[in-house]
Amino acid sequence: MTTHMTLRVNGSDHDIAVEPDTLLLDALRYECGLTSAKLGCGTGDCGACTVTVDGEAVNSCLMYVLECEGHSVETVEGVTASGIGAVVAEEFVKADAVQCGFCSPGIIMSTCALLARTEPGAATDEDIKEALAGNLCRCTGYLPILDAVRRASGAPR
Amino acid sequence: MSEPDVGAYRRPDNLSELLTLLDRRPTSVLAGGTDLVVMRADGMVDRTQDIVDIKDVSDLRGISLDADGTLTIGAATSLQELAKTPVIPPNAITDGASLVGGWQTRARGTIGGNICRASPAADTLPGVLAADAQLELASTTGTRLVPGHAFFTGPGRTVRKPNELLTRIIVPASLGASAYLRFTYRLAMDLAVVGVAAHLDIKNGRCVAARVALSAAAATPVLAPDAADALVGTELDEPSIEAAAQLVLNTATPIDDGRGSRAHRRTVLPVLAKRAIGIALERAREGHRR
Ligand SMILES: Cc1cc2nc3c(=O)[nH]c(=O)nc-3n(C[C@H](O)[C@H](O)[C@H](O)COP(=O)(O)OP(=O)(O)OC[C@H]3O[C@@H](n4cnc5c(N)ncnc54)[C@H](O)[C@@H]3O)c2cc1C
Ligand code: FES
Ligand code: FES
Repeated sequence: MTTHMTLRVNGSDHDIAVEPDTLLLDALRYECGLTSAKLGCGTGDCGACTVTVDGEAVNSCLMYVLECEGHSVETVEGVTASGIGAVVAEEFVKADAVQCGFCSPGIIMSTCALLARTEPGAATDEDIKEALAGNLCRCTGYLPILDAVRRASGAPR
Repeated sequence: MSEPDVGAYRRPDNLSELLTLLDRRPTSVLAGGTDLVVMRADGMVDRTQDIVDIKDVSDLRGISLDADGTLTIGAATSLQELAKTPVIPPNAITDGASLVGGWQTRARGTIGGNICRASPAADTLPGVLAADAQLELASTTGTRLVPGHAFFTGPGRTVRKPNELLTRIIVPASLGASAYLRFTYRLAMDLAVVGVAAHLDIKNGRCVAARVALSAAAATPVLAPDAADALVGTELDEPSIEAAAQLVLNTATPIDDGRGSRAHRRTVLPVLAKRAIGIALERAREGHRR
């Protein structure tokens, strides 16, 4: 049964048509036209679909979009436009932390959620690994990603 | 023939409305969705059932400690909140919560979901058994308490009736401490090949009560009473712990599967048991009471 809802993404309200079990990931991609979040596995294992809901990193492939009514979703399109998100994106580029780029939006969203809950420079390597363990990267071998996150964490906010 | 309609999505904001919805017709309780969304997509759960999201019922969330030391955990409390809670020191349940999946999994996944999914390999269940926790089930006709060790009836199966909701996990006060450890091939995003929780009550340096529980070692999480009994009365010295740890094999009936062979599991279990007992003892000596 199709219903309508308001989905708040990156500060804008989208009025969209949804089924009871439309995934947040599909709503973002096909209803809102925001394609940064990717379908990798669809089972919560890879993190390519990571976005934040009320600031917390979540897998958008494991959420129904109706669960987000009344909540606030952020994607890479929004967070990297300015502020610390833009710094994170820049550090990823500088550190060669992006090769094919399929994992990057998810990893950047997990990073932004980490930086939002830690003071500048306070995130330890252990914190970074804990925050990113649910994000797989097939290309980089992770070391450039760790570098980028360390540097972004140290940047003034 | 057209496909039957998928069930409706509902998100009641109070418990009585929620229980009424569960009573009316077969429904799928949605907590964090980290199991349910995949199970519905795979056809393991009937998609024509209504989805009842429990996350807006605030009574179902949170961790609180009574004056008498009883700990109450709301079923819809996220695994991340449990893993990071300042309310209680680290213990077998919080150890288990902090091992589940990745950050995203724990941010959404709940302890109630972990319990009701009833995977034999689930990471919070040995802690629930070792803590001697009671599980509160509520329906429109009343509530009942089921001890953790009597809740699980098989892989994915529990005593919960379709119209019942798991509302709270009630953990009695403790004189000692507990710990949970699992064996995996990777440090994160892996499932237990086997896991062991140990809980020790200690008085004047002597073990006065103990419970040891295992995951991925039988069709359900199980208590290992022989190992626990062997600890009681000892001063928890190395040889006593070593001997008791070996006795988990009296309970373990692991299977061969993709994650490990029966023989490998039986080799690892006593080692993990020894380490889990050791960590629980260390925590008890540091004054943890959980
Ligand atoms: C990538 C990934 C990795 C994972 N790794 C692990 C791991 O390492 N260890 C581990 O133990 N698990 C793991 N899991 C499984 C899962 O995350 C946990 O079982 C989690 O605790 C489930 O909680 P949930 O709130 O998401 O449950 P849901 O998916 O919402 O529900 C699970 C089941 O329980 C029922 N249910 C939920 N809450 C209640 C309630 N209060 N009353 C009655 N029924 C209820 C639902 O109807 C459903 O049948 C993993 C999952 C993913 C996707
Ligand atoms: S697509 Fe969501 S975790 Fe892989
Ligand atoms: S850059 Fe290709 S998967 Fe990470």
